[in-house]
Amino acid sequence: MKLNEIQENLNFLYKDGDSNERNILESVDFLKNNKVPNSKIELWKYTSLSSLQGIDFSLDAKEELNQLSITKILQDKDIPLNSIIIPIANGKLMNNSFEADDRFSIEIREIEKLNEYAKNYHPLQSVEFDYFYHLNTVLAQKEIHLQIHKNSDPIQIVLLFISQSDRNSFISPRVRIELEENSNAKIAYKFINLSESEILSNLFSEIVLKQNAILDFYVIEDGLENFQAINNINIVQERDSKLTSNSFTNNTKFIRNFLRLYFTDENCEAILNGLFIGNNKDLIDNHILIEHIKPNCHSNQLYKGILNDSSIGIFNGAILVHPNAQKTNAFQTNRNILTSDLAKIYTKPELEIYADDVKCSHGEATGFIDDEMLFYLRSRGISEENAKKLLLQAFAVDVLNKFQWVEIKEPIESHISANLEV
Amino acid sequence: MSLLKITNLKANIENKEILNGINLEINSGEIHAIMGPNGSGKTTLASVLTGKKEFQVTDGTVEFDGKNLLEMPPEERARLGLFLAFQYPVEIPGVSNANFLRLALNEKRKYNGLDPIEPAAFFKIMREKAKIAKIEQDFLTRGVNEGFSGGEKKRNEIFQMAILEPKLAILDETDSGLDIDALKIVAEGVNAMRDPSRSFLIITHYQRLLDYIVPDFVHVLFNGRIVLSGTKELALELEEKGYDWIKEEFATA
Repeated sequence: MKLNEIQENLNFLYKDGDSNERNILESVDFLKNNKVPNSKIELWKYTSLSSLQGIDFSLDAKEELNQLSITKILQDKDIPLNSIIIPIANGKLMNNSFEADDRFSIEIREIEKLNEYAKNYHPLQSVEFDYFYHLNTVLAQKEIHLQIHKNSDPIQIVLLFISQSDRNSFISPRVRIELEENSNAKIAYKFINLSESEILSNLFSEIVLKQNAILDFYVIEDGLENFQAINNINIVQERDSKLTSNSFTNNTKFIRNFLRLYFTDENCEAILNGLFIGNNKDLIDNHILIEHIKPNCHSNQLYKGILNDSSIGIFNGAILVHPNAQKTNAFQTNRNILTSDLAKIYTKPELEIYADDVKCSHGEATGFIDDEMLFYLRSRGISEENAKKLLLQAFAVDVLNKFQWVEIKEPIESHISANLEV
Repeated sequence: MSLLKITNLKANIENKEILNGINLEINSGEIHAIMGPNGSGKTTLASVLTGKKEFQVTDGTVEFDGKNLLEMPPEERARLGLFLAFQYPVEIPGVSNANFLRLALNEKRKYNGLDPIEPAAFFKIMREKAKIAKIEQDFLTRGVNEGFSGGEKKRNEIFQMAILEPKLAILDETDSGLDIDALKIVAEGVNAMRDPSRSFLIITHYQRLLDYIVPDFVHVLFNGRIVLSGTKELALELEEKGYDWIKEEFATA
């Protein structure tokens, strides 16, 4: 089935009576009345889905993964071993492949209603109007629910989203995470594609940080050939909670990350770090929406992009400060380097501020590799190629230095500094 | 033995002729100074010799250590033993001095058929050479020139020169913007590096630096040509009389 054939096949995909879940019924309705988004819609203006439109996806990726292949993945890919590894194969939780621990529980549940704060706030960017959220809801039908227990000791969890299929496949991972009061977790979403066929992964994830919870969160999309992903991630923060979100995208064909963040009570903090590197014809889209709903919250974004070859980068950072959200601090920086005349970046800050006692700023800058710096390095005997690598590494390093999970950061760092050839 | 031989060198930037037939020969172990008023082409000469791409060579040849210098990319010139101490060293945040210099040294060693130097051995060399340029330890781990004062940047150039041990070092107005103490440190660094197998080309506007680095030869550059050559006494004469008489005497040349 192709993307634009979904609408006419809805009755086949979803039979009335499959579920009484109101959420799913709403989503079926949405899909009946809306088409796959195109470039006429502002939120998809630069993110062309046309490369995906032609692919005939199966909705039923059958390939089974066994424990053996998991073990192999753990050896091959840079995955921190002192963590709890939760493999999710083609969107389905692989049971019994990890050890129980009293700090968390995990189960399959009916899809939970969206958090009320995530609904309808920003009129255009709300997930309520996101085609792929609804598509995920209809196709996933159940969700993986991860609960981090209150007052528990710090925990490190890697969710391994593995795709493997012998045919072009559309997969719909659905994960909900709740960090209960006073919990403290490092959680990474790590994508691994073993498939040689095309994979379209359409993830929806809602993460709730209860009072005083601390989350250090990672989304790692690295070296994913034949892989296109749409990741809608909603994060809802309650009072005194702290989030650090870190994203790294490299060598991946098509990525649409849409991170929506809601400060629903006072004294929340969120630091968002992102590094994206496009090669060949990669398209990397980072959309961010931060809603400062209550006073005294702090958000700070630093996203950096390196666009090589004919890759395309998109950064769209919306910050909405509600009338009541006094004493808000909201800062945003996006910097990009284009290393080729064919590479493109579309960057747009969107600040909407309805409170008067706030500190908000944004800065966007895009350029090429600095000729003066390049010449300086070469004049010391460093080859042009190595000099460029050194400068790009330097450009990336201040984002990477903010990644606090060393076992995640180090392989990325060595990846980036790889092959300074001497 | 001739190390550098410049013959009838002409160069343009944006179709404007800056170098207008330079002839200069430097032998191993010699120190040459090039003086001249602003806009005479001093910095252009340094840029052309090191291979800055904005400048087009329209005529002439440059032989360095028996090789055709103008054919080579900047990095190859450096590996052969050419070094430029920049007038305005660029800041490169995020690239540490140590990493950058180890890479530079190892690329040079590889070019010359030597094995790369291990980090521990390299740090030993760095500590030694840091003394020559009177550089603090924390200098080494900081970003290249990042947040350095003018004097620190110039000392860092001398430090890099000490690490890379060039055959010919060009100092492009290294004295500009330095107070007398910083000037002395730079001069002492250069003097510590003097060696029968190493030559220097010192580009300066003022004679002051030449009190501390005594040249074997002094040349006056004007309108893209060397119009006068002599010994260190020529520098003193220029200091005394200024450049106006040069302008008058050679304006039509």
